[in-house]
Amino acid sequence: MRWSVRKSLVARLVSTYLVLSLVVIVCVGAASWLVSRELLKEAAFARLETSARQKETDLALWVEERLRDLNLMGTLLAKQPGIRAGAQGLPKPGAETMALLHAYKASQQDARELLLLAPTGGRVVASTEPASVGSYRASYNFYLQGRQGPAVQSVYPSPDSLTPVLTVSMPVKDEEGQLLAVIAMHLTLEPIAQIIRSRAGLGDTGETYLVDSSSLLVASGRLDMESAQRKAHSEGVVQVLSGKSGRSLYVSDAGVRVLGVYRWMPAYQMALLAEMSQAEAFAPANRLALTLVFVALVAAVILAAGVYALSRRLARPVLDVTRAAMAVAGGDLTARAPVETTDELGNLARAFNAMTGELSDLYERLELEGRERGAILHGSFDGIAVVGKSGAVDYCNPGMERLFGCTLPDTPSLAVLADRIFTDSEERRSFITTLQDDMTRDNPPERVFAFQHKSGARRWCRLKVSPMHGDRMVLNAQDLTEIKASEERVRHMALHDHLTGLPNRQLFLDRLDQALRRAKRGGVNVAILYIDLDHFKGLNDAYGHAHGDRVLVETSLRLRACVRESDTVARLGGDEFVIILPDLVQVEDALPVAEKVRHQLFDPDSGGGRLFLGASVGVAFSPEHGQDQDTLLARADAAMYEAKRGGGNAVRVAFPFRQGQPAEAD
Amino acid sequence: MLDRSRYGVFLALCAALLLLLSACSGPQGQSEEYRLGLMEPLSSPDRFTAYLVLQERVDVLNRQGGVEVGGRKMKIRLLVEDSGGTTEKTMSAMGKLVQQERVSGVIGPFYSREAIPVAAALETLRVPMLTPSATNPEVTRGRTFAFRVCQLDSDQGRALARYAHGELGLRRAAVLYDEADAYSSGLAGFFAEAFSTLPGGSVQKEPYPAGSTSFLKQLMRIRASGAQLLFLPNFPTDLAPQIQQARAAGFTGVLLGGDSWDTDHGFHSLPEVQGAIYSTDFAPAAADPARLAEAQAMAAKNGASLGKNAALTLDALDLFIAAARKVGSTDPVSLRSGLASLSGFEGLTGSISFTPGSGDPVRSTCLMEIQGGKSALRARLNPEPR
Repeated sequence: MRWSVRKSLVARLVSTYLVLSLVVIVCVGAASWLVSRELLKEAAFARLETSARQKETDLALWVEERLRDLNLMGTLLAKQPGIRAGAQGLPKPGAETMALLHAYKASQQDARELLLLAPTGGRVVASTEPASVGSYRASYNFYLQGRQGPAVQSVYPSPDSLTPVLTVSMPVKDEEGQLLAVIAMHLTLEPIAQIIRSRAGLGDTGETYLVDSSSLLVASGRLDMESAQRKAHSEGVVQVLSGKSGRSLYVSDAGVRVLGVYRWMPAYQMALLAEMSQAEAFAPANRLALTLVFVALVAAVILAAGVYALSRRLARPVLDVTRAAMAVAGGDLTARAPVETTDELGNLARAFNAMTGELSDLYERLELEGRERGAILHGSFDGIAVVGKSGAVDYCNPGMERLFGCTLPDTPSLAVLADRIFTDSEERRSFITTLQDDMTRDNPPERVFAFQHKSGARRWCRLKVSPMHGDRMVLNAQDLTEIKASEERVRHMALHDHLTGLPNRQLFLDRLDQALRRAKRGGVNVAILYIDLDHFKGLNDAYGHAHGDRVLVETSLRLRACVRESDTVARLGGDEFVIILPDLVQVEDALPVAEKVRHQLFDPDSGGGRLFLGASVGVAFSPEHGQDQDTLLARADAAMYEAKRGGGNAVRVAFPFRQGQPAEAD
Repeated sequence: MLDRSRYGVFLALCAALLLLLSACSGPQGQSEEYRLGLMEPLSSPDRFTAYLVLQERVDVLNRQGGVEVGGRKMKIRLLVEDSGGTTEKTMSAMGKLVQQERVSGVIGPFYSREAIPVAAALETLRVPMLTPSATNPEVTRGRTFAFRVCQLDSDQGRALARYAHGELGLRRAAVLYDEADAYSSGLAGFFAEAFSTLPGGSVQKEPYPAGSTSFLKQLMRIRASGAQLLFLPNFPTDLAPQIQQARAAGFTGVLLGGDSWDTDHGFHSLPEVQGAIYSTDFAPAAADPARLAEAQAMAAKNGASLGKNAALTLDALDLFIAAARKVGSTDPVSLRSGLASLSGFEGLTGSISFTPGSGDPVRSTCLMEIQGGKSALRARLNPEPR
């Protein structure tokens, strides 16, 4: 139930209304009940008090009447002769006296016993109850008081009859005022109690009753435990027996909630209680409250129906918008809320539709843009990847996959990529730290590095890290392998002879410079062999330039075969070649090489005697013949000329530096 | 929307309204206690102080946790009502104790004139009454709920008559008594009846009306009869003038009294009364010394002296406790059977037993002699078969 109420707007509105209505109804009902109850209580108390006052007056009148009767009887008795004291000081009542007493008792049903007592000693001299005659009443208050004047003895449990009794007494005196006897009358309270208990004017449950000082219900008559228990412990009785008069609400002896008014009458030692059941007294209040609540409930039900209809009308546009919104949330951007009214709810639907339209357009634009960006990325020759700060690879375009030869699933992170493209652990580490460093910089430089492609080929790459929105980075990589290769070709062409592939003069000078430096540092020797082919001009002229070029190529091959890997063979131009022999322990080691060169280049049998017709070789040593390249080259050149002048096909060592003359070789 | 908290508020509101509408007060439960009433004259002139000693005893018992009845510890609640003055007042006091205070038993009243009507009413109400000192046979005659601690007037009268006839060897006796007082006229009658039946015994009976102050007329007649002893079963207020007037009238014989002589010792110092003999229930010299000392301490604490009435009253309380223990209940009717079946109870005033069908105890009597203003134990008379 709770769920359905929570989910339904209409149910919430109606239930809220009903709960608030019920609270208001209960409050109004309770308030009306309480107020009317209070008014009724006051009215009931007023009635009870009036009744109690009336009954109290009745009681007083009754007692007064009996006293008057007794007085009259005393006057009559005083005139009778037997009343005078006899021999023993006791009156001797005659038959007339007895007749008078009996006649009175017969006429009054409330007179239990009439007594005539001696003026002293309290002896009963005459009584309507023969058993009492001869007994003594000296210790009775009614006797002691009765001797003085008219007396009313308040209610007490009579030891003779064991019923609550009220006794009136009075002296009988002669004309001189001499006390002749005491006349007393025990009054049974039953008749007066019955009168008092009459319910006149107190509704169906109202009653008035007398309770004596020992909480005995006077009208109940007998003195026994059963009657003692009656009225014994109602709050009213307890209150009134403690001497208080007042009124209150309490539970009666019969267990009935009553309104009670109680009066303590000290003259009679009795309490008068007037009670009425609360149920009867407050019945109008209950009726009023019930009627109010019933009418209010009917009104609430009718209003609830109205609230239901209204809330349904109010809720329908809201529910339509809700449905459309749920469709949009589900991905259907074409959903629209129907515009049913022109009020705020209509505006809500319109605004919702406009918003959905905007959203739809934006979604389309974004989709197109995304597709375009995707195509750009997909078609790019360069490699583009998106990585997180931790190095995780989020995206990798086909260019990137081509560049490194691995796909995104193969390389979930930069560390894995490094493992794949570097064999050397130092390189891997360097690659990772460099990239991490770049990721923290605003504008890191481009990085160029070589790596091993999946195919095994060594390739070059240029890579730049650019920050992206958020914590991620864009890696832009370019394949530099082709560019690197063409660069290498150009550099080779600039430093080598294009015909023989040997280092040209520039490279030769560079190598010689390095060899001399090394020699100077290491204390070793360098030798250069300056070689000029003999009769080359003649061969060129006789057989053409093509043959000359062949001679030069063949010569370069033979020269290369004569030397170590670390030695440099260069062509200086024309038919002049130079060999650098670095790192010699002693200069004489160069001479066998020079001789070998000469020997190899003199081979008249080869090529029909048109290829190797001899060569002149000049040898110069460093530091003997010079410590700089120009000097050394000049001394070698001079030694070569010396050999040429001697007819060629010879080896000449340059003269020592101080002699200025080349030395003879053979 | 009707979530828990709102439901809570709503329910609390309803509950508050209901509480407001149905405010009611149930009757308060009465704690379990052993309720005993004490009827004693509390107003002048003859004000008793036995209740002070009794209350002290009850306090001591309650401080010890109460008395064990039927396996439960019960505190004793003593409810004291004034029985003095007039019969109407006595009856009202009885009604209040029984019907309002719901006592299980009544100790008192002390005078036969009060005890007789009260016993009649309590018989009807079926509540046991145990009077410490009402001696008139009418108090218990034909009743099942009336008991007494003291000796019966008929027993007392008979014991006195036999003693006077036997031990004192007297033959001519006279009795002056209040004709309207049950005790006085009753005891006078029993003595006269017993004495006159003894060999050679004759009795001159002289009643006087209640409230008389001059007894000379009766005393002159007594003197004229040549009586050897004068029995005065009257109360101390009357005794002093009677004794003085008797001696003044020339009576020289033995003065004999009943237990009323023990209620007020004021007249014991009169020179005319020296040598007189009276009977009573309690003689300190005959009591158990330990219990006597304890009771005297309790009396002294309240500035009272341990007289005959106080001793009998303490025994009455102990008898009620013994009865409740015996039947294991404080229900009035059960308590009555408990009292009726007590036998060999050792009290401050001696050994007490009840015989079936009678509320009168079988008990000893002490005879005291007034010497030098003080009373001394003269003889202890064992119970005689009735």
